[in-house]
Amino acid sequence: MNGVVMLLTLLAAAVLQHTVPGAPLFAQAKLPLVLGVVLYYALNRTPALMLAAAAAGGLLGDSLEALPVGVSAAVLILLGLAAWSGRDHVFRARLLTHAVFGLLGGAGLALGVGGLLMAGHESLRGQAWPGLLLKAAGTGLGGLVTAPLVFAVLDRFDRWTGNVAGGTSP
Amino acid sequence: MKQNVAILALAAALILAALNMPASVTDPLSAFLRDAVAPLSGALARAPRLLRRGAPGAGDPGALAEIARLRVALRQTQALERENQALRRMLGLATQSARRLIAAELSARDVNAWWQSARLNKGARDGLALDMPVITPDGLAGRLVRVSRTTSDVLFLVDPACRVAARIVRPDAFGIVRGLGVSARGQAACRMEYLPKDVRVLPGDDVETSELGGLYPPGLLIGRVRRVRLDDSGLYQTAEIEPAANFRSLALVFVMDTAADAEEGRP
Repeated sequence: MNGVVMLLTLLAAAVLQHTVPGAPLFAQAKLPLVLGVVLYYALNRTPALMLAAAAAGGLLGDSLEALPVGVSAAVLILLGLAAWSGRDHVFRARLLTHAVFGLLGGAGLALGVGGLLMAGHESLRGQAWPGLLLKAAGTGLGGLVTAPLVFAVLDRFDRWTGNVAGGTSP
Repeated sequence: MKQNVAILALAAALILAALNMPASVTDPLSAFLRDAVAPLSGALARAPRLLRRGAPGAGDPGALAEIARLRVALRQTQALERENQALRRMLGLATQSARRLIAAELSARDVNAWWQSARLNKGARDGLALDMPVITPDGLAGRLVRVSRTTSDVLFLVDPACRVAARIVRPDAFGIVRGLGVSARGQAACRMEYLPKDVRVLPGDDVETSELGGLYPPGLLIGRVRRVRLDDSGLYQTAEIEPAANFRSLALVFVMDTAADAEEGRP
């Protein structure tokens, strides 16, 4: 059941992420919904599930967003690892924790994907650093808002399907 | 400790595999996934449009296609008047107004955060192919850069990666138009480079596609000159262009079927 829940939420997150237009105020930054799913697995579930979510979510997101396939997966795996390694030092069930991880993860995602794309694509090398930083700020803010929502939805979904025990949050 | 090492090794292997997947694997996978979720994305994209019927671009596709076709035909007729009969016959301009226009709806705007692009709800099965020009009733919007069976991606004219061989109509000057992106206020802009410095270009002059680039048919309106300045080298002029198409309110576009042109080898 874990795999089904993960695939369904990743699919929904990736479709919404590529369909919702970017924010012009933040250099077209998009809502990092797939990142929210990866962070949920990093903070609440086993590292194997987190790696699977990051790899599958990255490949799905790159395919739908027409990015070079693998770029987002690589960055999501690194961010998932970072979140997983820090999860014993934070209050994992707190909304604030989800929001802060969303903020930092969103900014890291934009900078990581941007860096990899700029290294490999001539057409993006001319992009100014202020633009990339603006995009990172926008994606970070998007993560700040969306990560708690994604955590809440996934938590309910996992309890409803019996993937985690009901009652208190993990 | 052993478990941590195993996780790190697995993560490293996954990253290496993700970054080194060959195009023979990723291209079909990407096209398959896009086709598979296209109905879902299309429904999501159509929902807000249904709520605001009557907004620009939400009209009858047939009527808008006719407007676009007639505007293209009008511009090309004006171009024909300026050129001599022999040149017109040689370039095949007289037949260009008869090109088929394929109407397509945007199923996702800003497909990603890195290129100014959008996804259309038509693909190879509807006759779309790579590099076909995409227009609106107002003017050129961009070209197709990715085509799967049921979807295609258009790279907008305002993206810095998009370059178009262009011509300013009134003083008859040629140059290259490239996108400058969209500002924080949502204002799209392009720049026309390599204009000869002895040509007098004025704000308001029309800029259209030229026959020199090969990708676009000549005579498609790109936009109008906003201001002109000498470039940094002092050898050329650079004109800031206001695109004719309104990129933020696009809902319906038309793909110009240039497949017959490609077969005949004309621009």
